[in-house]
Amino acid sequence: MDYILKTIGLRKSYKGNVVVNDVNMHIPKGAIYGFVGPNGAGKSTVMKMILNLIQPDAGDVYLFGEKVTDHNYEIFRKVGSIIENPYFYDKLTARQNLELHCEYMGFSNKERIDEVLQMVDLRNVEGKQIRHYSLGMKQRLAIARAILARPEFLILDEPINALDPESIREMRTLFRRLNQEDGTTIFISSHILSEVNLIADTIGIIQHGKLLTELPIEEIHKRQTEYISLQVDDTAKAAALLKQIGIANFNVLDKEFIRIYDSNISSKALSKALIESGIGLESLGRKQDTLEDYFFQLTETEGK
Amino acid sequence: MANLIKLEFKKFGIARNIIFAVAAILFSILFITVSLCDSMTDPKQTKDTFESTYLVIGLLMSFIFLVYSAILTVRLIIGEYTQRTITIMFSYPLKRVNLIAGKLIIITVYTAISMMIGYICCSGYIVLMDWLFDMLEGTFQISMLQTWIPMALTAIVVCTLLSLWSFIIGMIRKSVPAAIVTSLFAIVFRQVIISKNATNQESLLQILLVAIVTFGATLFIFKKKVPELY
Repeated sequence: MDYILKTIGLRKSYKGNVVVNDVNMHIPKGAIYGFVGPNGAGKSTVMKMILNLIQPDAGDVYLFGEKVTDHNYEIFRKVGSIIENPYFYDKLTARQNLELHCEYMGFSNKERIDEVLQMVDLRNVEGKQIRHYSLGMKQRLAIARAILARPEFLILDEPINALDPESIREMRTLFRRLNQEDGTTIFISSHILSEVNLIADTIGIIQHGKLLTELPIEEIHKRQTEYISLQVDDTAKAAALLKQIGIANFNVLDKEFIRIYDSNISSKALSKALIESGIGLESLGRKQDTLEDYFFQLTETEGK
Repeated sequence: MANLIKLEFKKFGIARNIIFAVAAILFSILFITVSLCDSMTDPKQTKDTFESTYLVIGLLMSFIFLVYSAILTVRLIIGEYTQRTITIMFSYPLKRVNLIAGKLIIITVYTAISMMIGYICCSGYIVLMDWLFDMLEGTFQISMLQTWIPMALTAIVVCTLLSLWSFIIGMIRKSVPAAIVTSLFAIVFRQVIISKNATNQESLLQILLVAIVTFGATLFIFKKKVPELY
């Protein structure tokens, strides 16, 4: 497979504390790769190592098939990024910051500045100094800067932080458009699983510096099992009844909840049976595992 | 590299730095004027000589521009680290050493040129004031330039070298106060050295020694500290 990014055995520690441990990542060309993990899991550290901002203690990073070293900095011409927070020259305006970026990137199409400012809806405030911008505005400007030089690979570290719900939706649409129309490969980190679920086609889950899994989101969707969730006043009595009517594939979660992993059962018949047996039925509904469930299953298993 | 210096120059904001240099020179002229007027009008004092006034000019130039070069180092280099804009700078397809070297070149050239203009303006001013109002002891002789020019050139070279020490010490911990305090130490250090010399300037050997140590330390910082983000 044609990978834009590949890491082999990345490892980093600070003062004896291992923050990234043996990370082997694979980002295919044209993918939107969601990098998820709790705060402090090592997401930003991995991203910084990819951009050669910090040196790994061990392991290698390959971008566009080339090993990232201090000498082949030219590959970063094809990369746009947001790392940590949106940093800018506060006394310069948004436009001046973007002009500087163009110059440093060796990108000569200045008309593109108008285009990206329009994309992130900052055209009307482009002349304002950055120190007068809100965090959300800075975040949108950081996205504009990252996509300004038409990168082939976008590295976005928590890009939707500080954005309001409408802006999040707009940025999601923008990222999809960049991916589909321009073929930009996107590597996006977030601790908001629902957001990653909506945009990514490949997922990497990291916890305590270890990449637990890396798989297409379709794979996760396939694994997502449908179940019936029951909330009753007496789970012991309900469990006995379920066995009695021939339902064996279920789990008693606690004093109130039972999950039945059999999608062929009729909800109507089930509720009737429960009520007729004198079991208090609080709720009954069909549900499906989410990415969140998958994440917690995986991280809890790993934790044990 | 030339292109990078041009870019850094844009961020440097040449206009405000020219304004500062002009203000610093005017302040020095004012200081000299007050000092000359005081010695002229006070019957208990004798008039200042050209030699002593020229030494004051040297002290003013080195003090003002060494401190200001430290401020520029903080603004252009250490500020990039403390305000984290360095993460953006270092993600550009550019050699990192060149990025910082370009900034240092601007700072040192600015310091050297400003000091040179300062020396010319202040020296010209005392010659003019003496010619118009006889404010100094003796008369200006062209032969005085044989002492003044080497003194000024030595001071400019040494101060340009010493201006690098704010960068060296400031970069060790990416600390703004360390950079500023280092410039003050550099001024004191220089005064101690030159006050021990009969010529009131550094000897060639001392200049060489300062140059070697400064270049060595600068190289070390470029190798070890420039690539570090924090």
